[in-house]
Amino acid sequence: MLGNELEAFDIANDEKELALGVIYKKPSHL
Amino acid sequence: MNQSTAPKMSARDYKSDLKPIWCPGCGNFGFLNAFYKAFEALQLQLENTAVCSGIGCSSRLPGYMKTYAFNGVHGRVLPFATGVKMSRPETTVFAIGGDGDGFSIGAGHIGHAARKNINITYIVLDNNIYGLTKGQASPTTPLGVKTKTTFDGNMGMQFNPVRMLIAYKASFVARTFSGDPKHVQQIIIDAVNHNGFSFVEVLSPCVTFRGKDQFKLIRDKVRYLDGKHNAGK
Repeated sequence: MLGNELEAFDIANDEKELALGVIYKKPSHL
Repeated sequence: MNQSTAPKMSARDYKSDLKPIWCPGCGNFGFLNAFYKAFEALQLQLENTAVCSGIGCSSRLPGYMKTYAFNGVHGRVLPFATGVKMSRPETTVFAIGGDGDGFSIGAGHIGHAARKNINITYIVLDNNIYGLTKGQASPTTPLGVKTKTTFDGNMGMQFNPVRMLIAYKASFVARTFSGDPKHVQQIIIDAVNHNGFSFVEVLSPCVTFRGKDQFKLIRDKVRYLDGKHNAGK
């Protein structure tokens, strides 16, 4: 699992504060 | 049409002749205006853009567009939008729907659209309720909330769309709030510019069945990700 994926999960799991913005992005295989 | 010969588009050029019939105060109005402005910023051409939907309040949105627009079957917007993209790869394709449409009957499609990395933008206008059918609990209705189907309070845990999409390895996951149309506009631009499947959760209050205080409650709860957050490349 990528480092930024873990950070994104932490943000998603925070239900007291709803984060706005691009939470997760990874290089596309297209 | 060649991009260099394409006409310069303004936000109003994307509006159809239909007037939205959402309830006064609905969060979807703020989203729709931001949607038009994002189209203008991206200079999307009518003949190369398709806005698809399932069924629900937010799924009325394609009717308010002058682009190609499809109001489909409940929960099936992603297979439909995938088909549009496969047959017309040059088309910018949007799939639009609500939390009931997307995370209940349509939930099985999300993982496959994400893993196949279909180059479309899936936008869920999340109002935490089934609004069109007059206020039943949806997958994102918070625990304990009383609705027409949860008289003693919702006993189901609230679904977390962002967490699910990250787990599904979607290549672009974002959240925005219809009470901040400029933020919505920028997120739509970022999502379209991403080469792959992009998912955007839009917090879009239903003032009729969730209450008029929803805008304030959400506004008090949100925080903007700052430049320190590394979303990835």
